[in-house]
Amino acid sequence: MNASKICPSCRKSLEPNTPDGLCPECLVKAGMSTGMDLGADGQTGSGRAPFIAPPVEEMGRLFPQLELLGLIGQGGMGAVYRARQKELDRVVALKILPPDIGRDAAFAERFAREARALAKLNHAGIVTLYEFGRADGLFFFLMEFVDGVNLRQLLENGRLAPREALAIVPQICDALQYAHDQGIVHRDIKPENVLLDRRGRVKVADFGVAKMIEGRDAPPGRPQTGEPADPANLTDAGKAMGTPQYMAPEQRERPGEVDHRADIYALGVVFYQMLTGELPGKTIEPPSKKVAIDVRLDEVVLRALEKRPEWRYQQASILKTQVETIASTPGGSQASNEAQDLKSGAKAGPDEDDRRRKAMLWYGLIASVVGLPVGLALNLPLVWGLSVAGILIAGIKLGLLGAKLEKIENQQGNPPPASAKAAFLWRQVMRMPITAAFLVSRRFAATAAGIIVLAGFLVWLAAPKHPDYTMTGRITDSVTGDPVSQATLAVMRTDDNKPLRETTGDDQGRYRLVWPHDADLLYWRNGVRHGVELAIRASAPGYEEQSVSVTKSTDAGYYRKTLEIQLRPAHPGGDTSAWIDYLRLNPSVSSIGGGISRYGDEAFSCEILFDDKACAITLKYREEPGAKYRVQIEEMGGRRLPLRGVVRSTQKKWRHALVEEKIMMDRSEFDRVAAFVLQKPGIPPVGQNGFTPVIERTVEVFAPSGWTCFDLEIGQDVSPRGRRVPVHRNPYVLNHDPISPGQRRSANSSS
Amino acid sequence: MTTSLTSKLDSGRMGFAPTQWTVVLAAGRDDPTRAREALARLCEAYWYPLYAYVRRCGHSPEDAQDLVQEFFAQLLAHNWVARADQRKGRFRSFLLMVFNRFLTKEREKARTLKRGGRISLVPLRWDTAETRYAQEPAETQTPDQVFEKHWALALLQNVLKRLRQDYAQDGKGALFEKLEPSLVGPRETQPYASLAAELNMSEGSVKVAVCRLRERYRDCLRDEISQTVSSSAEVDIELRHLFRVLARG
Repeated sequence: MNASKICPSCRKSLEPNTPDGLCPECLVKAGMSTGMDLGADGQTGSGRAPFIAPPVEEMGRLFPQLELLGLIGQGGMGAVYRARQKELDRVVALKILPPDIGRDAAFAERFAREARALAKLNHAGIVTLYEFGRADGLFFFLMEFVDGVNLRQLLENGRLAPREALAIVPQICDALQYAHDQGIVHRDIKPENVLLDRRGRVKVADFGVAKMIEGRDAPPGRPQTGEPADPANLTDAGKAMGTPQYMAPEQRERPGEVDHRADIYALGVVFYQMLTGELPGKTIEPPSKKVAIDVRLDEVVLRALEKRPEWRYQQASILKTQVETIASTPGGSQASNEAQDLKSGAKAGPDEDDRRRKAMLWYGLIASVVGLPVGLALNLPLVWGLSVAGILIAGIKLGLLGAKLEKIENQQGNPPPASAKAAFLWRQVMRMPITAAFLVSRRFAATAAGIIVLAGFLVWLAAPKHPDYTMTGRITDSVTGDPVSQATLAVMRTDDNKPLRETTGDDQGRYRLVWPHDADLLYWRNGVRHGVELAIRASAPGYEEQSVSVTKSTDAGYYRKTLEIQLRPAHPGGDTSAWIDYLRLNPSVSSIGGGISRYGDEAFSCEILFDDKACAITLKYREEPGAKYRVQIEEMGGRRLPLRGVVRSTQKKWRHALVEEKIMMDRSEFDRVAAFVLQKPGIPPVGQNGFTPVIERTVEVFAPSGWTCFDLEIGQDVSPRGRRVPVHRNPYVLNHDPISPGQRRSANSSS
Repeated sequence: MTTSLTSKLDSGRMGFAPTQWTVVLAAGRDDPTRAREALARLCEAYWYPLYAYVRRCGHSPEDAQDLVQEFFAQLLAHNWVARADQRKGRFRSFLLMVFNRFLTKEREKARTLKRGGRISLVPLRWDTAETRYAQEPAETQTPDQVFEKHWALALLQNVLKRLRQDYAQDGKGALFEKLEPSLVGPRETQPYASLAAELNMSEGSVKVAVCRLRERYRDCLRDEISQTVSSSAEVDIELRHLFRVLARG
């Protein structure tokens, strides 16, 4: 098949059917760019011509007060020379910017800001700025010259010895802490900006992207959300400045909200690189796993590299203290760590006992959590009761232990920020079991986990996956509404009609049917059938058997459903007269459904009601669009009867209309009603009069000789074929003598 | 509106060259054959998004084929274009709207169409349609989104096809094949050196060739989009819409 490819430009994975195998997004982007010529454009970033540093002689001309000693380095952002101030007889570094930057107001402002930032700083660990100005259109800085190398050059030869790293880092911390105290964040800490002179002294340089933070009189412990001091703010709005690999996450995503803790992150990256020789990847591997160093350093580095600023060291000085502590107490192996822990007591952190207790509590908690669903599924109150108790106990104890740990942490001099206390606690709690288990016994942890998993699996196997289906409801007479007692119900699959379960209703007509679940009930999704169709068959003496389909959408719930079943009184076989009497006695209840089965997409179904008192027949049927029916009534023999009046009301639904037609007649005609004829207009080509009866449906409902109801099948040809179906019979009707053709009931008939 | 559009086109005052869609829109009783040809060409280019749309709606492959086939037959036979809202004037939205109407009608009738024996004015590739659809990743988008996405892809495919044809006509088919990947991505990061080596040209001339290709591609893209819209302002809107659609999915 198609291996998933990556677009070389935007790095998104490509779907198989992309045009010519190219990334569609990039194609459109390419189509949108306006007129990029071959010549250099003036936009930021791409296309900037490389800066050629002016030769030394020319510089000497520009700076008469300096003796230019040579070019140290150059790049896109300027060049640095070594020079000597003649008057003061000291060696300085001269940094100049490319001439066209001077024309670009944004960049000019940025470097002016660098100058101002550096000017505020007077520290042995920070490169001192002597002068800043403009000469012949060129911006220049005059800085302290550091005779040595930068950290990048050191790292190029591989990683540093831990001893060396531990000597460098505290000095960087000092410098950073000083700058932070002045309210300045460096924002671009990286090896290139850490200089070391021949005596091993560290100097931090290049405050080019430094940010000034408002309100620098605030106490150093509180993190600031930076509002830049200068109104020009040309580079801050939305753009993240700095070197990507060393940038803290918040610096990448929300550059406006960066504070001094971003520097601590960058320092963490540099520290990591010093120890391991590599940059931390997406998932940070502790340095002690890569090289042989003191395990305690892991904690320091990882904490500096925390993604959330509030979880890092809040002050560079604290980091320095930690590093110096580790450096001064020798011993890098795990065993001696433990010995140290025991000896130094609270200073090293929570003791082993606490850790072990914590581990046990965690196992107890896990077991309780596993036990809860098991108990619920198996319906064992004891099990889930114990689980709930276990969860509560373990949870409380863990909370208490966590508080104790936090107190110990506080004693170490790391007061967490008030706002992030919970996050800090949680982090500690989450960290502990892992190291605790590691200490207690890896084998024990593995065995316990294995047992729990195995137990859970066995329980899952044993537990019944689905409960039984339960169907409840009432069985009523469809005509009178009274309950039908002692009805028999059976549920079966429609494909083989074998009953799964049977039950009997009670005297109030209520029933309850339960059958085991072995398949999902029928449902439709995207036009495809899923599941199994079941049917419930209900029967009772004197009633017609009825089958109701059970699908997923049958009422009320997933496994418990309700279904009200209405049984139709059965035809006693032959004797229809009693029904007639009943109709005549209770005109409002007389209704016989004339159902005509579906054929193709032609369907007609009609409900017919007789009002004996008013001599009116009401027809209720559904009219499909374009299928207007015309009703005619025939008497025996086929003669069409005149109608006194037809009242037709239509209720428009979305795609069809519900039509109700009330047809009034004379008494004499009413008694002679034998059949209804419904005509449907012809479909094109239209015949004469526009009304070609392509299909004629006859519903023969009543004939005076005997009331029968025809159920017609509609075929494509014109002539309807019919067959008889039994008439519904109400068992509660009074017994009367059968009526003979032509006769009319007298006396009790209402008229 | 129709007549004024035609007259403007004729007098050339509109400044917007007659595209296939404007021809279709402007077709009245004047020149129905030309309009139908233009419509047929448009349909030929953009039938697959409709197929993907209707498949996403849940129809089986056979039903989908029937529906799309029938739709195009009816579209070309009847004058449904008269119903198009001239102000919106985009073929894409028109097509989807009319197709939806057609689907509703079809649902009501629920008839299966007769297969075969129907002369289709629009050659549609049914043999590849379903294979192509099956290759799509599992759709998590609504049918509308599916339609738009495939529309965008169809558009890009047509543009590249046209470009290739143009270059082949000039006898530079091989050159196009080599330079095609450099349509994508920023101008600076193209592998000019390796291309120059492969094509036995100087790096400078490679850069020029790539630049020309990208310009032509841009022109072609805009032209192809304009074939389906009715005013030049629409082209930018449509282009931005295209980008949004593709960036989303």
